[in-house]
Amino acid sequence: MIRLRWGDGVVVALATALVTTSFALSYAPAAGPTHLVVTQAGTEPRHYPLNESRTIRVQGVAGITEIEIQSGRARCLRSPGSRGICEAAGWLERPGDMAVSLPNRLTLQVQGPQRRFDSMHY
Amino acid sequence: MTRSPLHPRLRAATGMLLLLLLALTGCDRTPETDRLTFQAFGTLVDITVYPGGVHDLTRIESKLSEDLEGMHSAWHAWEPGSLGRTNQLLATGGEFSAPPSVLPLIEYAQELEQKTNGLFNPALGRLIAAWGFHQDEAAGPPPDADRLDALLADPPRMSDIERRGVRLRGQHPDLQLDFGGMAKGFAVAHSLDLLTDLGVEHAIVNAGGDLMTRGRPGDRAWRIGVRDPLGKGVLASIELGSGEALFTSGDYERGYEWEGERIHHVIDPRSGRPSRGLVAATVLHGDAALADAAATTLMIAGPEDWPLYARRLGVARALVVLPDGSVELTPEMVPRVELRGEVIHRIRAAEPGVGANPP
Repeated sequence: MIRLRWGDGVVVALATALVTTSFALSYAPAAGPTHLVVTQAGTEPRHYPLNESRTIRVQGVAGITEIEIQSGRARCLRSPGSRGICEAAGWLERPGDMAVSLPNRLTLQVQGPQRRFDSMHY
Repeated sequence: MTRSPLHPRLRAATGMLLLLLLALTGCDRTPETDRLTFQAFGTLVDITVYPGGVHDLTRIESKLSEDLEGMHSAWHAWEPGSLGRTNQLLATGGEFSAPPSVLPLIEYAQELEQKTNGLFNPALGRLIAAWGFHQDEAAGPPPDADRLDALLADPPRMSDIERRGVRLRGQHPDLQLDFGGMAKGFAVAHSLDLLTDLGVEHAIVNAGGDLMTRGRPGDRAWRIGVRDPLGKGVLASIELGSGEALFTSGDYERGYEWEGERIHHVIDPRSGRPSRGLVAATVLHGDAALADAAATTLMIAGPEDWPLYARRLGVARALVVLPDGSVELTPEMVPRVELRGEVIHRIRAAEPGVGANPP
């Protein structure tokens, strides 16, 4: 007959808790985006944290692209291009969400700790 | 005899749990990749390499950038370079030796022109220039009706280039090559070869949104997001294996507004005007140059005939976006693409034996 001592139970409970926690940490769904990456032809990619509300103006070949960061997300507020494609992308709020201004040759992408896509096709 | 604090079975169970814990902390949820972004080939180039942290990224950027700029210069449609010299020599009507950098494009373009019955026709550089696209920032005015009639009266074709080995001779005075519809495909494939030479076995080369893969990031597929051409976030996601190219031709890429009308760069040889009826055409294929040319061809073919031209080019996997935002795709594309939930889509297959009107 096996007799368990209270210490045995504590060890097993701790080990189970550790495994469960690490499993949850490893396979939990990706968290929200943490920063905005602005890539523009001819310049180094620029990173902006999403936890600081601000408006960014980027000068491009066709004019100024205005970007708004607010409440952990970002959007293309105004950009050259009569079709409003950059603005139509709306709020970028999930890792990998992207807006593109082809006239200004720049891309806006929000990224998180885990990348949703390896590459964006457009 | 010393008594163990744990019964052997419990000790084994605890050990297994701790081993599992170690295994979990050791495994990585997604394989780490490195990313490079730089300007080359007249566009934004984005390189993803796997695994991360092991490659000399500075050297990769330097080599790739230099190589891409070399190709851009050689194949530029309106600036001096190998293609510019080739166009000058073709216009003379005399025989000459083709530059080695240009010959493969001419050969492939002749084959594709034949397969598409002239719908894909890179010999129409003069027509493209007339629409204001042979300058860095495309601009009007568009050609008037008389100018268009003159350009379309007897348009040059790729078959107007007589080819004997490396010797070429132009047989049409208006022939002017513009490989804008396929050069990026050649460039992306070449960049992947160069990456392999540099010791990179697993990578994505993305040039202005068009891309090709080689290898895999560990034991999973590459995950690609497809941006909605109408600007509404991500249209779809596609998983790619090794050696797959994804190319799109769209009316949003290059263009300008003229008197309220959107003038885009994909010119239909039949009308001499910007193609109509499709916003974008996307092709998934193992040959990047073919994927590039086919995307252009399907865009020109329009909403009725695109499945037919996909079949003619041997393209099984393609999708197109219509002006209302709905999507049509080939049956073979269906299992490869995961469309955003609310996107309306239809499956279209070419009916064998149905012919399209030649241009």
